[in-house]
Amino acid sequence: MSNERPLGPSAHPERLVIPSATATPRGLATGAAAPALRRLCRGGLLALALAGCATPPRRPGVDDDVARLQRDIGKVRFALRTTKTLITRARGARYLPDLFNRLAELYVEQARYQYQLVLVQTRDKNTGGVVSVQTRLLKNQAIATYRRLLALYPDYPDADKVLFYMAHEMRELGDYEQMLRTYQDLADKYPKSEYRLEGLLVMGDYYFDRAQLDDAEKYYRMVLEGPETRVHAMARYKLGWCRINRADFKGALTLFEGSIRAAQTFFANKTTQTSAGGKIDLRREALVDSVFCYTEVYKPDKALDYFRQRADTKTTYLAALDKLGNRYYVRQDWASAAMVYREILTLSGDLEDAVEYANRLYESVTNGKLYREGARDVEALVSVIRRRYYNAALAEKERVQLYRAFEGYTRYIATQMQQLAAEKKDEELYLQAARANEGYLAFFEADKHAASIRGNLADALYSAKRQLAAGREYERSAATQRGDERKASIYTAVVAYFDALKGTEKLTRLDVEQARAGLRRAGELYLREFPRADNAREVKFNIARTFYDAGEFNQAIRLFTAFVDEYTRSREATVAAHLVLDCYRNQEDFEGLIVTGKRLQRLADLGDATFRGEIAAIVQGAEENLLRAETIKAGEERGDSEGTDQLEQIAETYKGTTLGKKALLNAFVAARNSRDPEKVFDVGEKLRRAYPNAEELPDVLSTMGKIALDSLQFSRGVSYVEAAARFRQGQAAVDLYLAAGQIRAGLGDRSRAEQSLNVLLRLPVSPAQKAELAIRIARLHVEASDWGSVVGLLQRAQGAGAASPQLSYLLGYALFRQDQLAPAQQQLQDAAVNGSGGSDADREAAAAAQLYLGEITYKAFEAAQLSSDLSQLGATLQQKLGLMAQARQAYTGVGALGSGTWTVAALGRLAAVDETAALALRGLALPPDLPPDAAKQVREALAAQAAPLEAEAKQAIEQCAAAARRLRVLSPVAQACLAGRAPTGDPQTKSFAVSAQQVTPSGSRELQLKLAQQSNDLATIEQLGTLYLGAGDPYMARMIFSKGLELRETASLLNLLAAAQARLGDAQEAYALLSKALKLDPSHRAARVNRAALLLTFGYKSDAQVDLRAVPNLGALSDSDPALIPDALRIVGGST
Amino acid sequence: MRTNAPIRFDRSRGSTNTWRALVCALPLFSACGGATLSHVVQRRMLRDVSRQGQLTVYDAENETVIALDQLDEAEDALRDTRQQLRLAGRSVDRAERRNSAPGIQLAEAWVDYLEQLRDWSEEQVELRRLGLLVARAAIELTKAQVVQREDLPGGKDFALKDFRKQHERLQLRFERETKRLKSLRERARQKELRWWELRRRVVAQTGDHNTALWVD
Repeated sequence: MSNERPLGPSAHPERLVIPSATATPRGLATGAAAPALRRLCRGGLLALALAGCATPPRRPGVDDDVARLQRDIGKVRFALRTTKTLITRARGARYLPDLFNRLAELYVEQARYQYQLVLVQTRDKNTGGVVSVQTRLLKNQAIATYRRLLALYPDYPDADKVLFYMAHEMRELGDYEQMLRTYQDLADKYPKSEYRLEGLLVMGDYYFDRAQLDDAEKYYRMVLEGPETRVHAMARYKLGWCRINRADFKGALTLFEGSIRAAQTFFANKTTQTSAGGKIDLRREALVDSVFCYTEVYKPDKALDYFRQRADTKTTYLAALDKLGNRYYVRQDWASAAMVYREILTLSGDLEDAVEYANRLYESVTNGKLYREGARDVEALVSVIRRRYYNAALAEKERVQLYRAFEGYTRYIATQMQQLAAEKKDEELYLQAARANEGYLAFFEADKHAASIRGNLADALYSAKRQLAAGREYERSAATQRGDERKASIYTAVVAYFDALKGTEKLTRLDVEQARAGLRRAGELYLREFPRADNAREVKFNIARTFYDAGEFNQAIRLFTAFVDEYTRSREATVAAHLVLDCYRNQEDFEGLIVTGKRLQRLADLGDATFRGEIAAIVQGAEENLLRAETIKAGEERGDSEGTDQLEQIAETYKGTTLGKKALLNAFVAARNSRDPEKVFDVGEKLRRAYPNAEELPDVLSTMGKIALDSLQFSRGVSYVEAAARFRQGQAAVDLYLAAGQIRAGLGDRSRAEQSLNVLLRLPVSPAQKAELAIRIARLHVEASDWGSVVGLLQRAQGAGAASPQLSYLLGYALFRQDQLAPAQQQLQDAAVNGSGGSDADREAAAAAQLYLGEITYKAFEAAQLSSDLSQLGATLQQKLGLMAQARQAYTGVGALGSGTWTVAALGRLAAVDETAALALRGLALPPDLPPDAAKQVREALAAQAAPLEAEAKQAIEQCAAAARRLRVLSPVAQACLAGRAPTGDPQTKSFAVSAQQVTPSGSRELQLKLAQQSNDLATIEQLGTLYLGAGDPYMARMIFSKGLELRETASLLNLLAAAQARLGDAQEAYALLSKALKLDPSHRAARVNRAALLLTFGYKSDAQVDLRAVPNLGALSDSDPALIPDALRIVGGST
Repeated sequence: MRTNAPIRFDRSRGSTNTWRALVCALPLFSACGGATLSHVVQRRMLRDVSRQGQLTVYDAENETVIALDQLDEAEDALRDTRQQLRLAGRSVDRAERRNSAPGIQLAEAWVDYLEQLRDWSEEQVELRRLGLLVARAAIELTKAQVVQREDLPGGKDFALKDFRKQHERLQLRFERETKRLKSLRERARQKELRWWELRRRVVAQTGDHNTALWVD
């Protein structure tokens, strides 16, 4: 007889929690016996508490258990007595049935204690079964009490419960027939009782235990027919077993699954209760018991998922797997067994049975030749050995055995895995093999087989395209190797690192750095140990390549250059050469690139013609880049022109080459941008000297000319203009030569201006243009009274097609001055005729020509002598008067041409003609033999002829003076007329001597530099012109002031230009400029003084005094002031 | 090259008003070894600056960012060179241990080159610090220009030419130093060329291409 109760009444919570005599029975708490029971309880608790405090804690022994049980029995007896007493005293009381019920329960309780007492007393005696008479008697007593209760109180509300407990006690006593009847009675009478299903379950169990499966199933089914309760799980479970016994595995499995679900549902709803359904966990039991059915029903592949999903704890899952593994193992289903044991070991390597599981796993794997999961298997086995090997309880011998066994297991599996991967050539399998080998090495690294396993690991990693890791492993392998094996490992490490760097494996930045470092490390080791190896070349190349890829260009250059030197003829040498150059390019070290590129080009054995062409192109590109970079840099430099130094340095280094020329050109551009004319000229001259045929030279020279002219360095500028002109053709050349000639003329440089003209005359230039320049230069000769040059120049010009009234006039005038009157007359007539209808200048020339035509006649008139021979006198007189008339006619014709200056001159000449004629008449020498009376008559006749001439002369002088005054003509003619005299000599005689010299005054360079940077700086222009004026170069000064006036007209500039013009003898122009200046600024003292001086010089005293009155204090001025015309103060001082 | 010498404020003008004190009395300690700018514009003077003025100042500040980048690059280069020098020193040691005369000679020549390069790199860092100061002077000049152009409070209390001179002086110094450093770099290059000559000679004599290059 067992006191263990299945899930059912005995497992009922209320039943189990009722303590012996200290508990409060249900339904009794509110009854009359409650106070007494409470007192009992208090006493019992107090006793227990005192007992607990009195004795120190000690290990419980058999005696203790016996004593405790005897105490409990004593307490129950006391409770029995008390209950019986209460029953006796409670006749007719409402709670009397409860007291009976309690009495029965106390009998049951005492029976249990009695049983336990016997059990404890016979525990170590091996007496077989336990027999307790008191227990049996007490249980019978309880049954009798239950029966009496039901007989006395058939309507007792807890009658179903009484029946259930009574049946249970009958079962305990082995009275199964009574038990069955009682449970049946319960089921029949109380269909809604909560004890009914439990009773039916017990009935089912009864028949199940007796293998009466039909009956058992009948009662289980009756349970299942009712609404779902906690006993349904057990009913299904039991029913499942019924099916197993009938070999209906599928049905059984379904029922087990249902049982598990029901139990889980039940436990889910009872989360707060610790003991929810009894002493067995149906979830676990049903799952574990379903293993057998599962293996019979389903294929193994889903087994792990199946049980994992249904297991509510890892322990349950492992319990099921244990059974499952065993099942497959027995069936020699190696794959499934391996799968299960692998799972078990993976989940928990520290189980008690782990070693056994490991053995099973290895056995399964090897028997089934199952190596695809080799990595996991090795890891699982290693996790077992790792835990067991260091167990202190393990004997040394066992430890060694364990080590040997597991080393063998793992090595074998890892090796087989490697072979499998090699057979399949599968990347994933190689990875698994690598893992397996790593797993092995994780524990057996010190083993003698570790080296070969590490080799396998390196191979596997390499084959799995994990090159970085492979490289590391090859290096580690090499550390333990010798000879060819070591050589191969180191080299393969290099290759692996190389592949890692160039391969498809996605590397982090750290990985990349590690791969590079690894390659360099392994490569250096290889070269040190095997310097003459065939593949040393590849290794070197790849080492250098790592530096290139890492952007460590200096080191890459160094290594690649050495590589090229060593393996010049190799295929890689050309690549290395390219990379060297690329390193320089990346660093923007173009100079280094050019030098190295040229050196590479010189290596005869390096590459073919194509390669050398490539290098040449790269070098050329570098040269351009170098220039570009330095030019940009030069452009960014300050404006002190030092920015071009580097470019000039390059030009010097590469002198005579295209690069050198470009460098100079760029330096030139940079200098031009820096606005430093001296630097521009310096660089330009270098270019001109070094590359005289450069196609860019004309533009360079033109630019230099322009810069020089802008900075008012006319002489230098014109030389560049001419130099540029020599490279030009057609109109461009014409324009340049014309400009050069004009500037030369402006500077008063007659000879060079004439050189320009000579060139120009050979060019296809319009007659007017040729004439314009010729006239300009001829005037310089005129100013210098170099008549031969004037004639020569203008005749050449005419011969080259130059033609204009001005030219004819000038040529005629020069011929006149040379007394070549006939050709002079011809030219003057041409000028007079052609110029009368032309421009102002042409009309002026025509007027001048007309005057000089008169002068030619006047010369004849002067030359004609009256004869003393009276017989001839008349004829000679007629001739002279005829000439006089011609001259007068010519002079009179001047006025019609509208030139004020020349009209005044003509009037003056008319007076001179009359005066001369009159003088000739009056001064005629009569023959000595002429009688006095006759002589007197002749003289009177001559005087009568002379008188009107004298009157006309006087009138002409007056007219001349009036015209001069009106037109403010400043000329010797006007001066004579104003003085009441008939003018004599050439009307163009200068009052001021032209004095000019080409000089470079100190301080002019600085001013020119300033103007180069700021060409419209009027103050500087004025300052520069004044410097030249003071230094005695009025030509230069005139050019400079004219340039200033192009920018803005100021009184000061106009005065200065007037001063220059006066120095060049052009008093009329000077006067005009001064008048303009005073109009702009009437208070300009220098202009006033200058104009007064001019007016005084030419006889306009009253006008001069007007000017001088506006200048109160002349003492503040000085004749050394270049702004004053020469001797101005002296002239005006005399006046004042 | 010394960059920590402060650039002195020209006090000849003798003005001591409040704004001058505000503008000039607080030197701007730059990141370049304590070098300072004598003329700075306090940012609070730009409190009421227009949007356009702000943009102008921001533009000028970009130069500082560039200068800082260049300083970083120079410092990186110096670090690399020093590292190379350390490695080269070890190469000498190794060659000495091997008692390899050509190896020692080559390694020492390489050290010689690297020392020159290191000197240049150090100077380059100083130059870049000076460049940073130039950029900051440019910012101050721009700020001063903006303050005066927009007639902001305090704008009349300083002379723009002082800021201009400050910037020009630093710029000039920077350019001078740049040129000087170019010659230093050239010297390093010459030493490198000497190393190559030596190496080619050693290789020709011994046939050993590896020592002091691929190995060590």
